[in-house]
Amino acid sequence: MQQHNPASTSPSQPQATAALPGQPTVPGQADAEVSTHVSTDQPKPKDEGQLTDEQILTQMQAIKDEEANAHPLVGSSMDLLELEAEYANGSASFRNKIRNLADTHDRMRRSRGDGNCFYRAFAFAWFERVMLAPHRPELHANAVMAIEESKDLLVAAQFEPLAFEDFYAVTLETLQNLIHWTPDQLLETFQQDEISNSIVMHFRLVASAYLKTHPEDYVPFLEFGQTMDEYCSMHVEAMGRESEEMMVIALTKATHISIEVAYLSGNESDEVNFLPFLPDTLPYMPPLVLLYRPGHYDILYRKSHCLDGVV
Amino acid sequence: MSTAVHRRMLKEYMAIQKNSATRPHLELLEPVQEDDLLHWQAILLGTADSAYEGGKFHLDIVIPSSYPIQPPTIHFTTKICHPNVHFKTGEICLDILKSEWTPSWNLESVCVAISSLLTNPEPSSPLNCDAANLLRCGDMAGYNSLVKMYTALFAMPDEE
Repeated sequence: MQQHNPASTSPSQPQATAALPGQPTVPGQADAEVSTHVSTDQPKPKDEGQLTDEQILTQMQAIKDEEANAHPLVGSSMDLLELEAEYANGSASFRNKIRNLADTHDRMRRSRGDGNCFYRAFAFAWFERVMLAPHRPELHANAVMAIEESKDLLVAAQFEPLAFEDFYAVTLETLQNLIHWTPDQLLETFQQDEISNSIVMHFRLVASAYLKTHPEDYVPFLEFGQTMDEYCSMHVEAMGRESEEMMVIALTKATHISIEVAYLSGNESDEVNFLPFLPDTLPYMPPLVLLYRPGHYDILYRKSHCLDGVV
Repeated sequence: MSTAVHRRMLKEYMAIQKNSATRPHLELLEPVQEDDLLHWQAILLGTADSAYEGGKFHLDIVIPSSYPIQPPTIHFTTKICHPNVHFKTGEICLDILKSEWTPSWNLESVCVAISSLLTNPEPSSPLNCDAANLLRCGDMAGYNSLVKMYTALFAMPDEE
């Protein structure tokens, strides 16, 4: 963090110091420190144009990028019990939940925590499911049909072709090609920024288009006075904005894919809650299973789905 | 260069050339050099009956390789007096250029949005406090004469 620009951290440090009560400092010293910083350091960057909003934003992005780059966009699958080990010093209820979950789910796969984790996890889980089922060609045909239909939905929601056609093309092409790929190739494809982010963007636009074309069902959930267009451009279409339940519902309905979310929350119980999200049509394959921890989605593998060849 | 951004910019370029008659306040929007679609320039015309009338305001536009997932970086290269534009750097404070950016925007619609920001300032998030304070005090006469003065000084090259 500090490497990027030391200037950004210095004004915040005195505030942090001052906010800590009961520090073994001489009374009044902390105050003096704060007041000098407030009177000199803080207005200074503004006066000299040293730290503009743009620079602050660039720095925040750099910090986010640095953290995100430590993890691939989509990781290799791992034993679910490895996740339990991460909570070795954490809550016992979390560990118990993971152990219980491991009875029925053996593996998981991480999606990068960059605000796009739900869309990326959804797309990968769906496409992987299609790829691993060559004996069920209808899964591939249905998926291609759903993506092609999504274009009509985007047009109906009055998106300009310029705004969606590149993302749509990348998504459809990936889906069409994956039947010739190995599982490793699919993973590598989802790890490439350009392709992976285009697919995320496509599903963001599809979720947005669904909400915009069904306002009567979803406007009541918005903040008072907010229009669906405002909500969608702020929370759905903007890259990196975290997904809320409404987007999960929208994407389920727009793609006819059912999802089950395992909620790993910090409550007392040792059992994980599962919440199903169902499309309006009859599901034609078992649900994609996602693991939710507060603020983050990953992919889960259910034993009964016996997915051979997961990498 | 990333091919996706290149493809998209080519499409935008073609659409912009076709629509040129439909945007009265945008005198120019084109790549600085024909062979580099990642660096553009634009000229906004001050709206008639506004304090910016008669001014020509140049914008410098840099397209990141992750465009349109990430927004373009746009700043004024003509000095302009406006609550949401930094007087020295030309930086623009407009939500759609930052956190509210979505790929539904394109260069043309963004330039139109900047043009409409000129006559619809947002004094609550100022980059130019002096201009914003005049507006917040309701001193329209002071604000307008300040804007007119800077427009005459920096945005009307023929009269210099």
